[in-house]
Amino acid sequence: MVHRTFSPFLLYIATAMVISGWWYVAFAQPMTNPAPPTPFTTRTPLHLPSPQYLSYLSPMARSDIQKALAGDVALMTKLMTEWDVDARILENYDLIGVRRLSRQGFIKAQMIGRQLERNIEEELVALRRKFCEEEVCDDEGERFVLDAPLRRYLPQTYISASFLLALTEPENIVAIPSGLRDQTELYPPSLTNRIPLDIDRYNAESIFQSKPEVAFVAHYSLPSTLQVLRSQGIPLFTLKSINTLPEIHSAITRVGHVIDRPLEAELLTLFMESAMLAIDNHVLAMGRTLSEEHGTPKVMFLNYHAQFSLPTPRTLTGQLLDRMTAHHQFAFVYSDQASSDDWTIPMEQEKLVRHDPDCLVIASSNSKALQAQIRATPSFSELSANKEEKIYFVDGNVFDSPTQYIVLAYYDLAKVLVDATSPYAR
Amino acid sequence: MGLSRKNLPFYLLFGLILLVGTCVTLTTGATPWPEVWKGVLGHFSGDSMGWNPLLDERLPRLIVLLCTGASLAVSGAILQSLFHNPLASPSVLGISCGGCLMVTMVFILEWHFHYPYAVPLAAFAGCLLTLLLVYGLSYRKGGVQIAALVLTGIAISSVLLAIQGAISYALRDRWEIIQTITEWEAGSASDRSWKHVHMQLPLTIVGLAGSWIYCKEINILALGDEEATNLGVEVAKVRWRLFLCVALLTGGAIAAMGIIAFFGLVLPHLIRKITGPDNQRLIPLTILAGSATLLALDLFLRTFGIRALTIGNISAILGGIFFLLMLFGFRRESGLMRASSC
Repeated sequence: MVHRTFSPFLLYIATAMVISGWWYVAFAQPMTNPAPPTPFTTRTPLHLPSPQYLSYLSPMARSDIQKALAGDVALMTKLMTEWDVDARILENYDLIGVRRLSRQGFIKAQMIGRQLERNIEEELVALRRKFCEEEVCDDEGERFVLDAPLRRYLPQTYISASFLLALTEPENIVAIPSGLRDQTELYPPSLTNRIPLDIDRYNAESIFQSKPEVAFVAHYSLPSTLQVLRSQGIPLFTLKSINTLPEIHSAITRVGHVIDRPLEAELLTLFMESAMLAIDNHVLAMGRTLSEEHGTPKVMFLNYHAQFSLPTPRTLTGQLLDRMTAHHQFAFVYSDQASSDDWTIPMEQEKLVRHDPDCLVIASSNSKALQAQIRATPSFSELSANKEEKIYFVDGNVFDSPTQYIVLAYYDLAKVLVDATSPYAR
Repeated sequence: MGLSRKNLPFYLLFGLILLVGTCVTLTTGATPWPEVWKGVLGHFSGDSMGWNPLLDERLPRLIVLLCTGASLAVSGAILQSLFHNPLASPSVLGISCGGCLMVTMVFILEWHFHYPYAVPLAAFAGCLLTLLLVYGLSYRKGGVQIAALVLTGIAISSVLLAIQGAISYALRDRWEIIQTITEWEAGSASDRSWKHVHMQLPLTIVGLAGSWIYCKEINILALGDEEATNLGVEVAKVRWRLFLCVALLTGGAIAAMGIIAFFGLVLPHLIRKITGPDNQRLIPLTILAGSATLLALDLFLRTFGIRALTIGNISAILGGIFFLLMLFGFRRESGLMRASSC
């Protein structure tokens, strides 16, 4: 037989050489269609004289918005004032579609801000008590009677921890999920280090000894953990899935009432609303490039986890895209195969090339590395977005985050769209 | 030779499925066919060197599906014959667990961003290293016993699964990595490119060639080690080479498509019912049937736009159901035989 004529050693060597030789020929040679190096983040803006009103608008820095969303009351009221003025300036220049917080909402926010900044702690306690609801319902329908203020809190989930870190002092929080400490860009160590304990089963006794007065849990919390908390006599406040902006506001408000911070919660929700409107106004003010004959730019937003997928309006990201579409003339590409049950639609490269968006926004947890990978993918070189240098990367951790930081996601989205389409982008 | 009059209808059937599946795969997609064909002609005439859906996505996907289906099916057939055990599959030696663990490490270290071939290389390397480990641990002075191999493989599988579970638990807060791993593990034929083809094809060719060359020896090994030795078969050497072929085939399949469960367990059973236990007939038809079946599954998912399941999920579900039906059929037959013998 054939195989008997070869010594085993030679057979293995020959086999290994065939395989490695094939790989060498296949992978060592340069690609026949090398993708041109694409500077994804830089682009020469068109040189057009910017409208005069742009020079009067507030700078709207992301870092300021993030700091305010973390609970900086003074900054919140300052920014809301600036944005209100921005809106009036734009209205003065007869821009159509300018929106701002209602007069009542704005006044309320300013009044709350002033009370929180000026009053001493004892007066604030009395004030909060005055505005606190008598009872609040959680998502399981459990009624929480708020006859006495609760002072020590245990957030079992990232969402509730995010709310609590913005609404109250870290010293009132008994423990946080350990993974929250890794998100240093949103939750700096200077804040999280003030909370000594992590939520894990080894700390159950320490957590119990810290005597939390309420635990914020979710429907996906481990049943055994919930049972232990109940047996320790700790009331559970359940926040189920938060999938829309109104649900985020409602959750913040209810959490605020439970922890005796109704004013802070009200201010935070008003600030979120004001920020979204301000972002809309800035997008409106920056206008859009592409003269009339170019039409509405086609924008595609993709998530990346091992493969690309399109978010549907069921997700928070999809709702942000819908909002951007409703208020500004961007045409977001959605799959015609999406059903009401889909959260995301896988997007194969052929479909991506077929859609050929004018602008491509990709959300990923590692944007820098993904850029290199995309450069090596031949199909991306076919895209108009690539040829026009309009492929943008945003932080995937912020998108679909059902916390107050969803505002940052909207900011990032607006920034890339303005950069892609505005002649005045800086 | 593999082809016999009795098997001919099945060859024709699977051949037809393969032919129709190939035509449908290559001609259907988001881009209309006239545009695709124009691009192809332009590519070959040198007018257009850009990315083409047919040449750069559909054709690589087709090749990967055919190779993976054939690889997994033949791997299962070989292992079932070698172990004399109908439950044997590529996972019994822990090969697929090893590949999966290596790919998990690549995702955690984010090497897949920096080195485009990290995932398929890791999958293949994991499969090969696991085979070497299992073989090394079960080697005794007299050689490798089948029972020791199976037990070692199961033990190594358990250890590797436990390690993977521990890693997943440690990363439970990093939801984006968990999502990436979950998507990869589910098995998919989407966005396969020529790099996947070039990674898998040499492994598949060598693996299938080795399987075919030794199919006569596999028949002899089914008689038992002593009998095989008496008939002139170098048992240890042949067995080692066959396991190496299985590692190459499984590694290539995992490298190209991720985990496709149950495929290597159920399909050889079905084909064995048609061809009988003779591996000279079994292996060729298994190659054809494996390719055709996986291609058909992929087309089924694409045609009906089923996004909730991947090809790995549906293979596991259908494979499990088929296996249960086969078991019930087997138990009924044994019951009837027992009743008639009484």
